Amino acid sequence: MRKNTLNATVLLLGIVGSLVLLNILGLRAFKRLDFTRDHTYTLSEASRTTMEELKDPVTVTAYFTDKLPPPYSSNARYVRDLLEEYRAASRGRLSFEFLDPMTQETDADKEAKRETKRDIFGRTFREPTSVERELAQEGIQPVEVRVVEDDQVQTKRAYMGIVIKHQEKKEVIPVVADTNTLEYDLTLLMRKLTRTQTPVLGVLQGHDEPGLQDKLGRLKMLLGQLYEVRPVNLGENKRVEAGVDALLVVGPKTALKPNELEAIDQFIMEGKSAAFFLDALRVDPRTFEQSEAEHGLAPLLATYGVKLGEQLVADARSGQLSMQERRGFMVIDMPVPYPFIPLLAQLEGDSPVSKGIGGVLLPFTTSVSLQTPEGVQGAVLAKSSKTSWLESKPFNIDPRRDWRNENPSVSGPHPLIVQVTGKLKSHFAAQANVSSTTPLLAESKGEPRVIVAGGSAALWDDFMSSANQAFLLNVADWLLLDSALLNMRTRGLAEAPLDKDISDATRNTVKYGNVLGIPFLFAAFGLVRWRMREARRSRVTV
Amino acid sequence: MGTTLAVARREFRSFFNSPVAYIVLGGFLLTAGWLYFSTLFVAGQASLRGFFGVAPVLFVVFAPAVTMRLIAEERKSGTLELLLTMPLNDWQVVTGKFLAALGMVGVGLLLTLPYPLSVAALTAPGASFDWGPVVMGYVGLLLLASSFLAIGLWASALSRNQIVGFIIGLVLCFAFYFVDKFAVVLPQTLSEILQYLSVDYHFDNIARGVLDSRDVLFYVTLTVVGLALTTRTLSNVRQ
Repeated sequence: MRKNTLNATVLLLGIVGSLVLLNILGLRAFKRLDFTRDHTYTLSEASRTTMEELKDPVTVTAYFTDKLPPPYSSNARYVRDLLEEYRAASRGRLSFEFLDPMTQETDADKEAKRETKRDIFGRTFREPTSVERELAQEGIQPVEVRVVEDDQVQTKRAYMGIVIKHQEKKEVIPVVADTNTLEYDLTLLMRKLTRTQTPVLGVLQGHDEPGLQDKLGRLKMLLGQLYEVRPVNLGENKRVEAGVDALLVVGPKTALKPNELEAIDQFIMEGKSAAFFLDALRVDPRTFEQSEAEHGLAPLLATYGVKLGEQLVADARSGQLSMQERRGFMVIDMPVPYPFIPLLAQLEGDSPVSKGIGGVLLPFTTSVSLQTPEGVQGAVLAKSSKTSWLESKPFNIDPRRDWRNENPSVSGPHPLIVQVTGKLKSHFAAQANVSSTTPLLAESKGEPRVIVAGGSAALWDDFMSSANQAFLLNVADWLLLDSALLNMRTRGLAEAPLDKDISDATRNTVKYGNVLGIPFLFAAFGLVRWRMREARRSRVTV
Repeated sequence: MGTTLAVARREFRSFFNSPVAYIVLGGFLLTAGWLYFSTLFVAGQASLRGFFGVAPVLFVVFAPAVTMRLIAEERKSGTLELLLTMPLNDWQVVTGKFLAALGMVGVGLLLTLPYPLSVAALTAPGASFDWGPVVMGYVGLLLLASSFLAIGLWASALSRNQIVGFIIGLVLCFAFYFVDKFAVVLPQTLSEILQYLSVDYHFDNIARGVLDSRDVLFYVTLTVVGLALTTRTLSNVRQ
């Protein structure tokens, strides 16, 4: 009997032991199957092709402090899994290593960490170790994480950065804060490192546009990570310089000259793409002083099928302004809703430009509508809400405007950003046949893409929220045809929304039908079954 | 196998012949449904994330409730001895009872299928409902339930009193669910192990729509260990 018990215990321990061992082995050799529709958690097509096209070795070093507390520990697991997939797709061109910076510390470093000094204010500090200096030189930043050591919650310096090297060039992700966009970031940086030519994005200048150095600093910085952003000053030229791949026209205030219009038109006729962010009025976001903008691009865009509105769109669903209010001797900041900054819950359409983006702010914008000629495909990318209306000149954009007694006639939604693509006709088609020194193209080569927005303030530094940044990057990618990357950025970010126009009756039916209906039917089934069993039992006679 | 299935069939039928199934599953459906649908329209997203968020917590309570009487009651009423004298292995009895409990939870999950169907029907025009994470969510819930049921079954074998069995099962399932929630305040090496031991952590991975061999292996391990412990306890009872 006792022997049997012993055997059973040994068997049990054997089973548990081998299963634990299997789990430990499973951590190294594993397989993942992605069942999401867009294969959100599998290496995307763009990453795969980037890896397949690698010609020279790329080395990735992930500096991750060992034994990070959750949730950082799962970030490390994700990074390792992802790099493993990159390596497999690159057929050996990509190699990566995982390094815990702390293991690189020398004895002198350990000594340096113990030696703390005090500054004149009594604050303790210590000299950086050689490892810390080296990492800082690489561009890897330490982050403070809370850990429990010796029964005390302590803050600890941890590293979670990635360095990618290709030939002489290097790109860095200083801190892996968000694993949702990590694959996009990695692929983007690898593409940037390995491509032979950088696409050039020209930004039109010379018409009192917001400056690339001051108002559009963020735009320049964001796009500059991926493209060469070059100011384009047309002057007397009738053509845009040859190296420019796509054109961005942001908020010109004075009229474009005829030669400039021709240059832009012909640029598009060559099959290259352009985006126009055009103001009807320009507003200083600090003083709210307004000035009219006369860019004269409306007839050109009308030829492509886009009509610019002249009235400002105001929306009850809007962004907020921080207003200073004096209360007694105190000045406090008060957020007030400001209808002239429509806030778009979700961009429209199935375009790669708008897919998956919500929360974009479009300040001081007019409506733009589509009147596309035959053969041209148009799509609305952004619409104001149903609770929007149009305001006519002279515009009263004072943030202190009292809306309590106003009852604007709501007429939304109004289209705010549109895109057209296809075989476009030249605005100067009539002059194409007239002999001239510079021959004109009457119709576009290929299918250029044109985006038109009713305002430029969305791209200014003052309003550059993360949603606006994503939108700007999508616009640039779409203009430059990098649609594979485009799909990847918004992959998995867009959850399908519920239909907004569900009636209360449907909503209640679904809600109570599921919450109460199913248990009720189940209970009724049980009751019927019980009654039937009872009836059958009563028929049985002994 | 045949005998195991015969035990499973007998147990499964007895669930639905008594009010147990209706009370336990009805309670589960009411709570899960209410918790999910009360936030669904506020969030406005066509996803079952809300349901998959609450279902594991509910299983902490409902899985031991399903298993509590399976062995404890037979021990109390003396029918276990009868069962064990039959030409059956201990593990066949245990697996049969486990399969019956899993079948019952399966019925419960089947009854929640109108949730994804109605949400998919209400998805905004132009957008499409992603069925991948939903299907995987259900697979994940079945795996999670199987590990909880195996633990619950062991708890039921530990005592003659089904309430005691329920409480032990509840405490164990609770521990495996919450084990990673306070991992932040523990030393790092320990916190990593605790995170791996959390059923919820593995479920989160599957409910995203990714079936990872590591997560499946974890659930299978927990289930097998639970069933092995039950078999071991049962053979002690026999002696």
